[in-house]
Amino acid sequence: MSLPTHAEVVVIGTGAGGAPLLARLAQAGVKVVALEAGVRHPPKGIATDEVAQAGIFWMDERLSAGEDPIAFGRNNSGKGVGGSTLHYTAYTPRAHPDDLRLFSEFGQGADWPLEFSELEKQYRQIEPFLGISGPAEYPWGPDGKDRYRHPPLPLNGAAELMARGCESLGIRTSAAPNAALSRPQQQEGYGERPACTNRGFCQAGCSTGAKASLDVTYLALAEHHGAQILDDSYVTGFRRQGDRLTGVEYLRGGETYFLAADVVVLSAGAVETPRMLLMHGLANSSGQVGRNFMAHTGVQVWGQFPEMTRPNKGIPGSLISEDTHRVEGLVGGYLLQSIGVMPVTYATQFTRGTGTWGQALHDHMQGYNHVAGINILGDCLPYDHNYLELSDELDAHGFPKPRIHFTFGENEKRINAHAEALMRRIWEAAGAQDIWAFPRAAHTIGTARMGTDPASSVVDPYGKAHDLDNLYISDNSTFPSALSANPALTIMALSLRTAEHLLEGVRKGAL
Amino acid sequence: MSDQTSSSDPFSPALDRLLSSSQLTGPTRQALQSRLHQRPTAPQYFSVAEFALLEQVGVGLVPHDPKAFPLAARIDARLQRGDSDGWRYDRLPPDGQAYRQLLASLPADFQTTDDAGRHAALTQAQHDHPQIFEELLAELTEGFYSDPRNQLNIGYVGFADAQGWTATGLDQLDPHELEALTLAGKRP
Repeated sequence: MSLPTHAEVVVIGTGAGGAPLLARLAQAGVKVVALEAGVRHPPKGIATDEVAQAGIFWMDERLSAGEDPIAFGRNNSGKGVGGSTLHYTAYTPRAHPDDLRLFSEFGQGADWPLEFSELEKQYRQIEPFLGISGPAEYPWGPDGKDRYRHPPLPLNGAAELMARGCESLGIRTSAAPNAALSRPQQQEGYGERPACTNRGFCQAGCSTGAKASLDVTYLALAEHHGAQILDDSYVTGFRRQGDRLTGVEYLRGGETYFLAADVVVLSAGAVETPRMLLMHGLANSSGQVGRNFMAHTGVQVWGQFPEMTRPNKGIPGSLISEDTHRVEGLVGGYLLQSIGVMPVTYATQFTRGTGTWGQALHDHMQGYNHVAGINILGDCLPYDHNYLELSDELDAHGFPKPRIHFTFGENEKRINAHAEALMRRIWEAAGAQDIWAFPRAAHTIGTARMGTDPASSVVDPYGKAHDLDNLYISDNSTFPSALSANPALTIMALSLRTAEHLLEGVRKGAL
Repeated sequence: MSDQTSSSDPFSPALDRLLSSSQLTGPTRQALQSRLHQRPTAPQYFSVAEFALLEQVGVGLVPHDPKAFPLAARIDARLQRGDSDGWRYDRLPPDGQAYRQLLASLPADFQTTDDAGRHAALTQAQHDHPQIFEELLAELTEGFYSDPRNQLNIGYVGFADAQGWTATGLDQLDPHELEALTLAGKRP
């Protein structure tokens, strides 16, 4: 393959932030190239094995500091063509209008510098394109009727148990929206994606193409329209002239190459994006790069039931409740989801969460086929004490490893405590024995906040860096607040919004 | 547990029958078979003495037969390659150093004392070095429960999913799960 020497737009990273934008620009005839540090993982090569699938995760070591150190790697950090959507569970609830107005509502956190309708417009395009399976009428938030193209995926054991427990406590539940197909769908640039076979291994990669990871959706569309995706291409530097970047240096097969570009889009996620900005001294006149690191409150409650759940089967998060979207005494709120689990993940979480070892570990694991979980995804406020910095320790490339400080604040502690107590009640009502809680945080958010004021934010409301004329950021690092919804769908919405903004520039001849 | 011995043999006919069957996709079969055929090797990262101690600690934390399940060798090979799981506690030194620290903290008679003595020493290590202990325990647990012999022993056959599952609800055994369990001699 001959490598491109120039792109109108180069996109660094091919996950939820990079891929939709890449497709939209390619469709409009813009010459786009994507650089992806990982390799391709086509469905037919995916094994149903957690250890064998380590290659879809970002395993370069990060240093986790603070009182509630964040687990990276398999917990939240993807690598490969498709980025973290290779391992996401495909859970795709929308954000709510009030998620964008946390400061207005509570006087804490931050408001988003855009209107909910701007996200909603994009959600409506993304959901049918990905082929989201969900209920005929979604009970929470606006515009719930006929939102989803396909009927919901079947409930698994954990979902049936959560429905039972919630019903007895008067909590509403619904089949969850999941970006995995309940019936086949034609995908432009890819072909037919089959219906989900309920393997339950979404977090280790989908072997059928039923899950809407972005390699089989937006990236296939992008390549169909002429985008070039260079995998195994690790960005090592940027060239700059005044207020403009002139291109990107990257390492591929042991050689360093240069790609000249008119516009650079950084879509490497809320750790690698600020890490690159800090390493290369870009876009940080505000001093805000790396600040405001957030991670969703994500405590899980597990139990073992008299019934057999065989928790590796079925889409892991097949049931949802958002009755706790607002709870008295909390800033923001959380959603509840039922969760299935793969065996190695369950076993290692059990040891980490309970400290159990020896024969007691094996005794507990004998109950694996009777395990079911509930999980929350809750808001997280930005704090001065939660941030990313460069450490003195170098990685294999000779670059400083990032150090991420994270300590739950009072509000996150309240959310987790409220949620854990509620989930324990739900599980007791559903008949669980041997209940235990696993405190954790999910996703990486913040670190290059969007805003209108260049003194307190890194990018403008369209993702353009305040400090540079042609650097954009399109990923979860720009989120001003965490949202009480899984981030992938909203990252994609912002990505398409940034693409439209860039296309307006093209039309005006500004590119 | 009558078939524990036979199923811990990587070449047991029942397991081989299942792994060779069309119930597994090619990539899954390859991953599991190559894992079963890993043989214990001499330590490269750790010294022979450290390795012997690590192996004994491993048996205490996640009871197993190290000849059948070379969990310590798996850790040694990982450290030798310099692989990471993507993060480490900032308070800890790099993984290998941390594990050495934990081993060095054990009482001198750890390998010669009785089971109760070892249990007490490991309990103390968990108290004194909670994060290193957690990391080592999680890595041993991953090694143990990623082995299809041990997965079968907890009744798990999720890897036999080439045809997918249709029965996913509560108290439902999928016909293909039943078939897989039967092939492996684990019919419920």
